[in-house]
Amino acid sequence: MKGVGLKMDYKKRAFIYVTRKKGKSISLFILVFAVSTLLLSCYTILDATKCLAKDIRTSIGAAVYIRGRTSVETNSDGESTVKQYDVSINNREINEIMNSEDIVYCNPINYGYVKSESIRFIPGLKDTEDNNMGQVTALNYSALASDFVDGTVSLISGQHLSQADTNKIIISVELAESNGLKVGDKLTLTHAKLAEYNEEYIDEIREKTAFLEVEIVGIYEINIDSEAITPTAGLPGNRIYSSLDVLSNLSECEPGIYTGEVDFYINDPKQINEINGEIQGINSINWDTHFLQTNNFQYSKIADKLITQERLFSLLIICISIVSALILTLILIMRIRGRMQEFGVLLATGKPKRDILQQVLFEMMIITVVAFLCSYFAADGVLGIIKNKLFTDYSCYLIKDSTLNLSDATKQFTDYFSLGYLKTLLVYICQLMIISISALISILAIVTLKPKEIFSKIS
Amino acid sequence: MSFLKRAFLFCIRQKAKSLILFIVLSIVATLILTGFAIRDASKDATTDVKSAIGGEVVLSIDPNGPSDQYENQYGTVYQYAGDYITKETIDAISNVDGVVDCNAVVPDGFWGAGVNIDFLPAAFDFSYTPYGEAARNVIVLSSEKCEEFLTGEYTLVEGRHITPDDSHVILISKELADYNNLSVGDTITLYCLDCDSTVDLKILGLFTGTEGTGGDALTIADIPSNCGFVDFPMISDLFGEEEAENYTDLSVYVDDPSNVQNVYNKISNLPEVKGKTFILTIDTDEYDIVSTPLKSLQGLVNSVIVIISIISGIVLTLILMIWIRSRKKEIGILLSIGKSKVNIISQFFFEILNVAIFAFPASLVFSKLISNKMGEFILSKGVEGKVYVNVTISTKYLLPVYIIGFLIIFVSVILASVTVIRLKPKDILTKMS
Repeated sequence: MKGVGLKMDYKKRAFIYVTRKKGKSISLFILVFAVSTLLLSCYTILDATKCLAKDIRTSIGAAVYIRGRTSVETNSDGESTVKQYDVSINNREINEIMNSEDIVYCNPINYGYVKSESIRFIPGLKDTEDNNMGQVTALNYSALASDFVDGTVSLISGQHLSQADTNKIIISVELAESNGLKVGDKLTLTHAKLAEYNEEYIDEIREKTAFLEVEIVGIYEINIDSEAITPTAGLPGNRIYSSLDVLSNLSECEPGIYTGEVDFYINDPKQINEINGEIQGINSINWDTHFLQTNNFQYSKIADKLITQERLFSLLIICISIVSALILTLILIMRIRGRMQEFGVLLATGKPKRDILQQVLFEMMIITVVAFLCSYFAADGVLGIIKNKLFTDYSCYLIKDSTLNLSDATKQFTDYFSLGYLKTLLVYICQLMIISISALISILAIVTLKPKEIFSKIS
Repeated sequence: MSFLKRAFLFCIRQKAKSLILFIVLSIVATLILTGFAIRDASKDATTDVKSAIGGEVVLSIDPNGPSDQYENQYGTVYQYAGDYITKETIDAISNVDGVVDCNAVVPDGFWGAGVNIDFLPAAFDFSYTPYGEAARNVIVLSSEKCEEFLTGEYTLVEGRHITPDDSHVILISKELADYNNLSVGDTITLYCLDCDSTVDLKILGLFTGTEGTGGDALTIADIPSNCGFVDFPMISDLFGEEEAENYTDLSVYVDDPSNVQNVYNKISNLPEVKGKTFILTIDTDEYDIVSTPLKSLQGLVNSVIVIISIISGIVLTLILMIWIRSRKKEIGILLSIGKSKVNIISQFFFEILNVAIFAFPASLVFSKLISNKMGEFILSKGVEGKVYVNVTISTKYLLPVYIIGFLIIFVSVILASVTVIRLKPKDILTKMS
């Protein structure tokens, strides 16, 4: 039997050691399993915290507005004149900007005037049949219009306009009540343009050639009292919010060209500078007459605190990793040094040092691979418990899709606890390296000695 | 030899083993203490985020409150005759714990035509006052808390915000200031048509954010650049004390949004509010959206601490079991010379205790060093703005951590000893051979 033992290759010796020394194998298995589960869970949680920090940033959001420049020029007599440049942005430029995945919504705006035989607008200054018209703000998302955002007006019935809408309008409650209109009603609009002639307000478009049937999809109310002295078209209650196509269908603007403001809403405010740079890199936009206005004020208030939060967590994980590595190394060194007698015997029987090294490494691998497999499922179980406890369904969007009248189905569910195969593999490889290096160092410290020296040390 | 002496001698003579045990115990204790320090610092960071977002309680007059009715040419007019929010109400609310600021806003509250300034021109010119068309101004107690500034739509670029103590001041847009070559500290004169008088206002600050927002403005008042922010005391001088001192709405800002309900309860019980015809509502919309991810973030930190503690306990138990099981031979000899099992277990327990007595205080020193380095590291990484990171070991954790540590040691010694001690000395020594 002894002869058979001596001829045994390192793999067989390793396998027999693992199966016969059950206590030692189990204790090493538990150690590697525990450390591996700890590291996998912690690194997955680290990723989850990054997702959550992004959620918080997303909740706050940010915006970039392309606006027309205003220039004030003062002549030699000290008289100042103001030049307001119009915005001119087309669909191609918008599509180019929207290529950035961090921009979630685009809200281009066109302005115009409309009249309708079905509507008698609330009379303003010097109101006549001719100048009885309303101002139109045509946009993609009415919920993102500044009046709705700052609470000057609020939707009281129906729904907001969304990008998919065509021939839809939202009117004020005063206009609806004075004309007996309600959500779902349809009416025909025609184009108009307010002008001043002989101190009277007139409609510049005398001959009506464009007509469009539109549907009222929402009614808003004005939340502030206004004492404005203004023509009929300028009264706040006469403002109509419409889908973008309305003004182009009424020949008041060219389709696909936007002359009002163009607003972009950003998912992650952290990316705002990068997005600004990308937008300003679009050469087809005349930056002498346009400028970018950014709004990440809300994020800037909490940015440093969120970054601190993320860094603290990263440091905690680094601490855990270092401690895990230290403990693994320490235990393995202890274990291997406890086998000094065995290695002395093997060396004395003529086994090469490399063979002993391979045997120990192979033993470690057998136990480690099984421990890694088990730790994967254990970490999954631990994370499952945390997931159920902490991640019940919640919305993390300040601008909710339901508010913008979009389907919630468009939003993808974020899996906060997915480390990914690559990172999982990386955690395992790092552990394997620590185990191998620890084993290597401790074995080399023994096998570099002569059998005689080893036995002298043991005695 | 007593078990205490044996334990002491073992620690002295088996220096390498004692050192390894010392390292393991101090590493585990350091990790757990550092974990708690990070958890506390993270909790502070979460509180800072909450404070930055803030919460709001809105006090407003009840529109369904008592009203006087009278007839005029348009028919019956109902005028609110209930209680108004007064300066005394605001003072009382400001003194409530957790309240950081109050603001009352009257949008379009003051219309003034420029006596010595020109407004940016609009498409149509309506000169309905001796000084041309009037522009609208928002009357505020605290301009910093106005929606335009809170949402980031406007940014104060020069000067300072209007506070409740200011009188006869105005914030104007930078565009308007540039158009009129004005700067902070200059005085402008506006004409009020409603009271047919002029008022001098000192420019307290300039704001940006109005550029290019004229859009489809028909009148001067429709251009945001022409519109400013003025103070309430000026209005009271113009229109009379009583009218200006009565506010219809008051926004009360709370330091921590999770404390809003508490502040709400305190305000509703104030004698200046209780029993009056007011409506008190809570507005934490912004915080509500980030509160869940914030809670989850804090929950994750806590989860990691729990995982670390459990795994540390398991690893420590394992190491101690390996430690004791490797001393089978010694146990066999001690049993064979008549030492009782309790005596042997006590010796092991005291050996580990001897090491732990040094390891646990050392862990406190190590974790303090690590925590300090962490705080310095975060600050050195150039976090934008002013941030205070306090990664410190709270003394409240020391006792629980050390007690649990000793319990783990005790349980591990018992568990490891049971498997060895249940055997007879003969069996142990036979096994060893």
